[in-house]
This record gives sequence, C-alpha cells and structure tokens, in this order.
Amino acid sequence: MDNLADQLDQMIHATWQALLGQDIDRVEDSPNWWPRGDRSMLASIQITGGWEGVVTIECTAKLARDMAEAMFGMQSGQAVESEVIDALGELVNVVGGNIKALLDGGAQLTLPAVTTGFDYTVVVPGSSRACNLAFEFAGQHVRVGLLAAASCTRFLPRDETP
Amino acid sequence: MKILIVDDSKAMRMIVKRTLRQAGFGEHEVVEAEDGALALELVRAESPDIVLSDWNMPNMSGIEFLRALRAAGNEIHFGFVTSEMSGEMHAEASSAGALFLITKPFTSDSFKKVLSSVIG
Repeated sequence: MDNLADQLDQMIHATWQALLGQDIDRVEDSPNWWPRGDRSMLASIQITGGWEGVVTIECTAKLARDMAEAMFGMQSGQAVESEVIDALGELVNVVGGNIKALLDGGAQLTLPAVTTGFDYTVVVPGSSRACNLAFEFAGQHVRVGLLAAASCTRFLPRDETP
Repeated sequence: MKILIVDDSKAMRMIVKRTLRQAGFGEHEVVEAEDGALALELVRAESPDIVLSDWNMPNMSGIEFLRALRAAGNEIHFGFVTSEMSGEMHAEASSAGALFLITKPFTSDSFKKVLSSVIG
C-alpha cells in the first residue's frame, strides 16, 4: 500500500504536535545515525486480529529523555527513567491506536513495551518490515517502523466503500 | 465540578490536564487514577462529576470500568479519551453508556467542542 507511509507520516506529525507541542521533520533514514555505544530505546506495541504486526519507535535514550521533558513541560535533565519510558510508551500507544483505526474490525492492541540497552537488535519472528520512516526532532533522529507478520503480505485497511 | 482522569500513562494524564486548562476548563478540580479498578474506588471516595477514561489499561480496562459503574447504578457522565476508536468500539462504548469519545492525538479545540455541553 503506497500511501501507508504517507498516512503514518501524518500520524507522526499530529502525534508529536499534540503530545509534545512541537513538530517533527521527516528525513532520509541512515544506518549511521547513532554512534556505537550510545544507549538507545525502542517502544513497541502489537496489533493482532485480521492484520497482525508491530509498531516501533526507536531513538537514543538522550532523545527519549528530551521528548519526555517536552511532553511533561520539564527543564532539561529533570525527567527520571520511569517518566521517559512512560512518555515513549504513550507515543507508540497513540500511533498504534491510529494504525489500528485504519484496519478492518476485530483488531486488538496490546499494552506498549519499552526496551532499552546498548547495541541490541529486536527481532519479531516471522515478520517483515512493511514500512520504515525516519524523522528528526531537536536535531536528533527517530525511527518509526511497522513490522507485519509473514502471513499478512499487505496492509489491510478498513473497507471504506459504501 | 470534579473531573476524574483515568489513564495508565502518567504522561497522558498530564497532557489531558494541560489540554483541559487550554480548553478553558482549568478552574475545575481534577483527580486521577491509573486503571479502572483504582478509578472505581476513587468514584466511591471522591464522587466526581465526570470521568475521562482511557480504554486500554491493565487490571481493569475503560469499558470494564464503565460497565461496573453502570451495574452499580452510577450514572456519572463518562467519556473515553483513547487512541484506538474503531466503529465497533464506538458502538460498544455507546451501548455501555458512554456520552462521548475523544480520539488521541487531540487538541484543545476538540476538548472544547466535546466537553462544553457536559462541563459548561
């Protein structure tokens, strides 16, 4: 579905504007964004039902903290780890819910999960990447991904025909 | 008027409070709960006038919370603030007794539009 990326792009802009009060810029993805050794964070949420997949938001721990502080209206350095995890989890929850709304009925959304660490790889067995978008916020990079189960070879939007 | 905000995310509870202020409802008292089970206790203890609840929460979901309220005979004004409102969920919420639904991400204008007639 060609316009999946456009729809996801619109969701990300609306979500960042509403939750953080700031816009986010779409950029070209690059494998060399994060210097090796930087701690990173990945928030994920699963969609199950007629279409099955995982929505992910990934960035450095520093940017996750900056976004949490923007969300909470805090000064730099004030957000504690639990607030950073909560904020990143809520971002993926809102994006996941908006993607779920595009799907046919019967889709379910799990609670969000947040992974953090150094130089790790997250693998969802039996899935492939349906969409991957890159953004820049406060001069740092964010990746938003949509992984689809192997059985779901294409995104199945809600049928809007009358 | 007392408003009960129910969401497992502290970030989202804070954003709902901020949006209430931006929408012109900042003078009202706000109480918070992080899931439906705690909210049910808070309704009994605090007697709020209106509930703004997330749907997808651990322990007790928003729809389970609403059904528990109505089963107990409580007719408090109840609305969902959720990221995942499908047509099926909309119908389920309405039949359970929800007055309105606000979809995340929301703006202060969407709060004003929906809540003006309820909060006044």
